[in-house]
Amino acid sequence: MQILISGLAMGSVYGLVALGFVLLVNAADIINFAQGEFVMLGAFLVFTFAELWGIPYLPAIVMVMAAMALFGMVMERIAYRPLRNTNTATIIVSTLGISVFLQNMALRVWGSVPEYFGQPFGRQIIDLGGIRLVPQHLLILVVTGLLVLLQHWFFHSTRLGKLMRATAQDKQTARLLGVNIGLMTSLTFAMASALGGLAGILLAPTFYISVEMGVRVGIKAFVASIIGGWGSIPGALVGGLVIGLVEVLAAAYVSSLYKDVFAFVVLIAVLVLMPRGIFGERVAQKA
Amino acid sequence: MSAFRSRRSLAILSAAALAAIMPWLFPSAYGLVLLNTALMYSIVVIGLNFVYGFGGIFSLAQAAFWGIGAYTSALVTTDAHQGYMVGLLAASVVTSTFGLVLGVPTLKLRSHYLTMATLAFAEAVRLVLMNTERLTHGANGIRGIPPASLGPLVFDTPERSYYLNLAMALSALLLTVRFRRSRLGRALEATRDDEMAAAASGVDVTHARVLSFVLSAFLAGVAGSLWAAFTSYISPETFDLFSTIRFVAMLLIGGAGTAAGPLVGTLLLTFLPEWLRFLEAYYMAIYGLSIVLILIFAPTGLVGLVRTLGDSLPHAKPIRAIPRDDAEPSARSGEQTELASGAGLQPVESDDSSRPSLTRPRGLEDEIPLLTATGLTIAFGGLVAVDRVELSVAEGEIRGIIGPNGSGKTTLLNLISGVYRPSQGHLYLRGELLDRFGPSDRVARGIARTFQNIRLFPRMTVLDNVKVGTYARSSAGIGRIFLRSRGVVAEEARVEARAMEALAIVGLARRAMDMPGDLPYGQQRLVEVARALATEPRLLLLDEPAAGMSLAEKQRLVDLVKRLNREMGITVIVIEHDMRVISGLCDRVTVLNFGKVIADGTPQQVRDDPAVVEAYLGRRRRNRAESR
Amino acid sequence: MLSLDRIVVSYGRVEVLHEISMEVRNGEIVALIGANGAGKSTTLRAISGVLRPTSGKITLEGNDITGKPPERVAAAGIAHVPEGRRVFPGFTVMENLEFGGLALGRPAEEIRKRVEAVLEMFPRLRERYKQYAWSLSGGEQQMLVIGRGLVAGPKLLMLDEPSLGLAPTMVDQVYDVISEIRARGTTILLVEQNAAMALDVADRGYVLELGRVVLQGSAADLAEDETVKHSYLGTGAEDLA
Repeated sequence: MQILISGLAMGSVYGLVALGFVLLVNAADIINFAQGEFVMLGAFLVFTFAELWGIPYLPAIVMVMAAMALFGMVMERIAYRPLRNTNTATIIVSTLGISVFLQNMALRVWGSVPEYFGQPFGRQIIDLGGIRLVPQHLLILVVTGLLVLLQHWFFHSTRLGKLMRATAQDKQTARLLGVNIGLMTSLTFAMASALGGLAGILLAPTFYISVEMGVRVGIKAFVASIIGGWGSIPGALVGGLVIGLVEVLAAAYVSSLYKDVFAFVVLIAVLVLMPRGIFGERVAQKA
Repeated sequence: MSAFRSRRSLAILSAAALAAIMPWLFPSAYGLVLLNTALMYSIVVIGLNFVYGFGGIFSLAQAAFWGIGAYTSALVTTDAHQGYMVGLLAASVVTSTFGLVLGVPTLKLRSHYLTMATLAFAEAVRLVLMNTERLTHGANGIRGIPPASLGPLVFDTPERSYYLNLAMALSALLLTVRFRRSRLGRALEATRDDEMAAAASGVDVTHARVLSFVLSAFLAGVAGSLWAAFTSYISPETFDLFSTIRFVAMLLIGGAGTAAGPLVGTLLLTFLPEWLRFLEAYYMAIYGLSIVLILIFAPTGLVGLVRTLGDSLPHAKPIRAIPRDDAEPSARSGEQTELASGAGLQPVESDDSSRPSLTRPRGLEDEIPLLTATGLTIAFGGLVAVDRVELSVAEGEIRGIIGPNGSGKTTLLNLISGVYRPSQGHLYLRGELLDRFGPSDRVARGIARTFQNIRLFPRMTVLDNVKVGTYARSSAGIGRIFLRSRGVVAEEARVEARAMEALAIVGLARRAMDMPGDLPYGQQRLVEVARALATEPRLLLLDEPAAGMSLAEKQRLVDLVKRLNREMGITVIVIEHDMRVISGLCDRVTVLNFGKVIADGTPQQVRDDPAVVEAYLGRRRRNRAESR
Repeated sequence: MLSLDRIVVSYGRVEVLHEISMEVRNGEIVALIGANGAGKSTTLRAISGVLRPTSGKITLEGNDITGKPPERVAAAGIAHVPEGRRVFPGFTVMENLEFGGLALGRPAEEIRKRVEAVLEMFPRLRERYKQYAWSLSGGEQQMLVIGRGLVAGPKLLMLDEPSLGLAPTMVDQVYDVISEIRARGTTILLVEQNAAMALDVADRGYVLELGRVVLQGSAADLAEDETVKHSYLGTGAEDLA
């Protein structure tokens, strides 16, 4: 049972990263190779604020999210906006450039020795009606659950959220209705970055924080969104859960060395059997 | 011309000399290793250029193919103790086979699914390399790979390897150049830019794509073999997604779809980290940022940038307004314009010897009509677009198809040309069932068409656009194209002659080297007609050819179509809104409304038919008209 | 209300609109007709800001809006309903209509009132107001996008090919609606390939050919003009030999 919970927890983190990833797919039609680096940055920033600078945990989280959102908007300005009229491949490579840049800047700032971020809520195992949980996992599940509700409310019930969704469905028409596309894209990047950062914050206590941690997570987010259905928000979350569970189960029952392999086994299986993913491809209105 | 030629030869000669002495120009051994690396990478990137630059397919499998090639060659020369040439051969064959196996099923998928499939393949390959200890030595990699050798010649130093890698890279470049100018290159680029128009011009779209995939795999495999021999140690981590993305970056920065782009981009991105080393700790970060910056300032790549700069130099053509054909100054070129108003067309070339190839004498009237449609029906969602249409067009006839917007005219044309499959009913060409043939096969059988919204290939010249039409009537394959055999040269000459002839017939021979975007709308239409003529059709389908034309242009169009029909024996079906064109051109007219045939007869009969009048004008106008 | 003064638009190096001048006066319906590729849609895009003219001037009620981005032009009071019935498929009819005013920052109460007014004009939409937009028929979607444009309460409504791909009965209904909209005081600029319908409902018209205005006048005069009749109305006796 612990295994399942930890699988779900990991899966939730992957789901969060995939969610940010999918938002960008919908809004800007790009594959963001820097998404994993957002996670890495979030982890390092919370480490810096909370451990190195001694800021209390909760305010540190807020600061990190704000910083990541800001960073997302800057990235949109530099790596996306000037290239917005070129083709997808160019933009994808541009995100790769950012990814390389971020990894190496992080290397410069924090060095190559992995850091360890202590458990903020202690290591006392919580007993929840017979189920024993590591507190961090509980935190992850709770936070992710709240976030899922939050994003649903945001995109379906608020003016801004609806406008963002509409813009993702049909940019040109949205423009003619008065939507400032640049602003929408900027906000989407901010959200994707903040989500990545949040995933990093949640992930930080569970592993060592290292400059390379983003790479693995990024690719898994990509795979998660394929498994869940390209462009689908619930798909991204479910896809992430699937990967998390598969990994953990495979590590426990098959071999822990090859747990990365299984994400791809699932990917290939999905592509062969259910090519449109679990939720199917989002209905996209193209010109 | 000769001054240009000799300048070019001089340039090539000096480049060759420079290349020959290159090893001595490098101060450090490391620099030479880097140069070798760049050359080997460039072969991979040239392969990527085939599939993405020319083919438009965003494949993420390139590093995987490179890895397969490297491993095959390494295993053959170590575990199997064979010579290098065997290893090289094995690498090419194995990788090409993988390319074929991956290409055939996945190329049917759409854009990002295709990319995903190549990604899955790439990861699967990497995992296999990592985990099958017995075959691939697993994570330890393969050590002690012997250097490349050709008989007694062993390439065991960077200097020697340089010449081998240079030769290979140049061969790959040569392949690119020859491919691009060949029928296969045109077919692939046409498929990339407009698949529907390519198929309608006779191109076997699937074949073109699969070929580009296999070529990209082949080149990656060769490069892998060279790599394994050069570095003498390979391990699975090298052949991962990030390597692929680095190759993509090299291609984009150099210029995808150009010949020199891959080399330029690869050299730049291989040496750039070294040049930036002086920045010490920050250099990789700056490298990442440079990629972004270069893409921003040169989105079509550096080669594309150089071209654009060349175009904007003072002597280049200035921006001009769309010329009205009536007033077009023939004084500009000094030539006599062949667009004599109202008197019909005279082709510029009066070279009679080239005529017979496209002319077919009008045969005897046969009993079997050229085109027959029985019970043709197709529905989209709940809407029946074509409803049990019966049609019979005689050989040598000019048939008009008219009807209000949305009556199914274009859909009918799409059914005839093979773009759609009917849900019921059949089509026969001279009695032969057409149903199972796709668009490009129907072209081979003699059905050609133009489109309502002009579909020319924007990145090719007018002449190349027309040449695409000859695809089904030519046969050069990749081997002969690379070797530039005499047969291929002769075929290309024939293709060029046919294409120029087709352009001359529509009166646009002098525009052969222009880009389609530079031509006014009416002339673009005529290029489409020329492209259709190049397929040597028996039946020509024209979809609103006169749209966007001035009165004089329409007159010329009518004259042209009449000539095509009477002198070349081409049967024509034309959809039009302008009744003058219909009346002037057609022997018979079929009227559609709501997908059904509501009238069929001579233009005169149809014009007076009350059902037709009502269909066009609708209730409001009719009420208005009646109340007058 | 709207005036174009020698507008020139280029796609890359090719000029597609060559010194177009026209005007739309308060309360009238102006039709822009011409063949495929003549530049009608391009003209609308130049007005709404999707394309920037390389020279010339566009003024709305005296204010220069030349080259302003679409967001600003929409805020200035021009609603451009492009061709192709571009509804937002993942939203309901109601939500689609609301979008007319949402991005422009209109207060919720005002949006509600205008949506109500639109639903009154389009009873078919009211029946389906909770349905998702992708499930509507072609004609209903056309009504929806026109209604959405109206929710913004525009000074000028620009319609691009509203009859395209619709069955004649639907076209009749759409045009009834267009007359109704004008009767309620909105000025309309109408682009159509179906010249008959357009000239029937319009007050004045411009005929575009190859990026130039070749004819202009009252709709009635244009409908009687020989060239127009032959090229666009599918009538007339003169043959091309």
